[in-house]
Amino acid sequence: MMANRQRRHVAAGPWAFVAPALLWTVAFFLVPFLVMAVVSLWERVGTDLVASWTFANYLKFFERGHFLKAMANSLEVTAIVTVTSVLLAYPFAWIIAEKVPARWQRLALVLAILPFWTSYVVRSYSWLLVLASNGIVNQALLGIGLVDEPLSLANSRTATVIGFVHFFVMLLTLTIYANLVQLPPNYRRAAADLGAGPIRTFLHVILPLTLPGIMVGAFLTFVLCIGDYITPQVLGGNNELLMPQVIMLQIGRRADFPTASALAILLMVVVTFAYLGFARWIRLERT
Amino acid sequence: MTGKPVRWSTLSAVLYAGAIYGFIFLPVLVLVLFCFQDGRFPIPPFQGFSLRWYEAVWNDRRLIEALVEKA
Repeated sequence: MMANRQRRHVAAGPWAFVAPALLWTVAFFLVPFLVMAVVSLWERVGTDLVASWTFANYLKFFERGHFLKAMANSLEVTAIVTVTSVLLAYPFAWIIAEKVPARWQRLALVLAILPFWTSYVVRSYSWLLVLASNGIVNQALLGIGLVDEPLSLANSRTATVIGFVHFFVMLLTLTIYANLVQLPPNYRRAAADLGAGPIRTFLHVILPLTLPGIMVGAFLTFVLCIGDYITPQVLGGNNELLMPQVIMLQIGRRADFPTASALAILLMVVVTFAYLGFARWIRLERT
Repeated sequence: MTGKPVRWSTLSAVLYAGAIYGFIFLPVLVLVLFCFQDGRFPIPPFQGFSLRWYEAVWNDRRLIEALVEKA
């Protein structure tokens, strides 16, 4: 009797610890997701939503050129942003971790992420002003005679990419820095002892050891970038649409929740594939 | 330690970090600078220092209410 009671107590223990997190996940992720999945199978007849079980909304994505084009745009922009951000942030994080004296590193890091304190929307509009044809960048380029006519930077894919890269360079500098300072300095000393120069040490010791961290940061960048609505909406102009904008158009302009849900789930499928790709990379580097 | 290569790498590190800091702060500095713009448009040239936009926000009841609500 006593033993039985004790065992039940022990068995209930783990569930009690897991329950809050589990409830949270079910209530705020699983249930909304299932609702969206069900709605994606509904139909919009006239202005009404009709509950049904049809894959028509998913077929629409593959049949209509502008949906596919939006997905292609999203993937292109996200790929450019992720690669550019990592390439810019890595040397920057390395300089903070290696070249800046230890007691100034915290300040250097805080400075590097200070613009996070301003609103994301406001920062996007600020980029619009900076990149405008009579904005500060064009004035500077004209002033030093690098161009004869102002470049049309604002309201373009270039502006979207710059706005994104700005955000993610700050984010990736943090994650890559955290990764770099974790490396024991002995590894580098051992490599130097064995006759490796700085470049070989970097390529064969530092880079492989920080690659998992880079991949985690790159994946985070990918996910946040491909789902972002504000930056392309503010900076991209109306020349091309990305997936989140197309999804918003379904809701805002047509009240077509089923199509919007189907597109959102397809975007999620793409993110899942990206995760699988990144996860394989990360594990590959750890073994 | 030989002098020259070390100095060159330090110089390029300073230049690179400076460029990235410049990139990171560009939109924020532009924002701060042109909030004092004495003119209608927040673009160069800077037409002089003015607090008229702060006054405009202060006198806009709806904006102040929105600010209080957010905070």
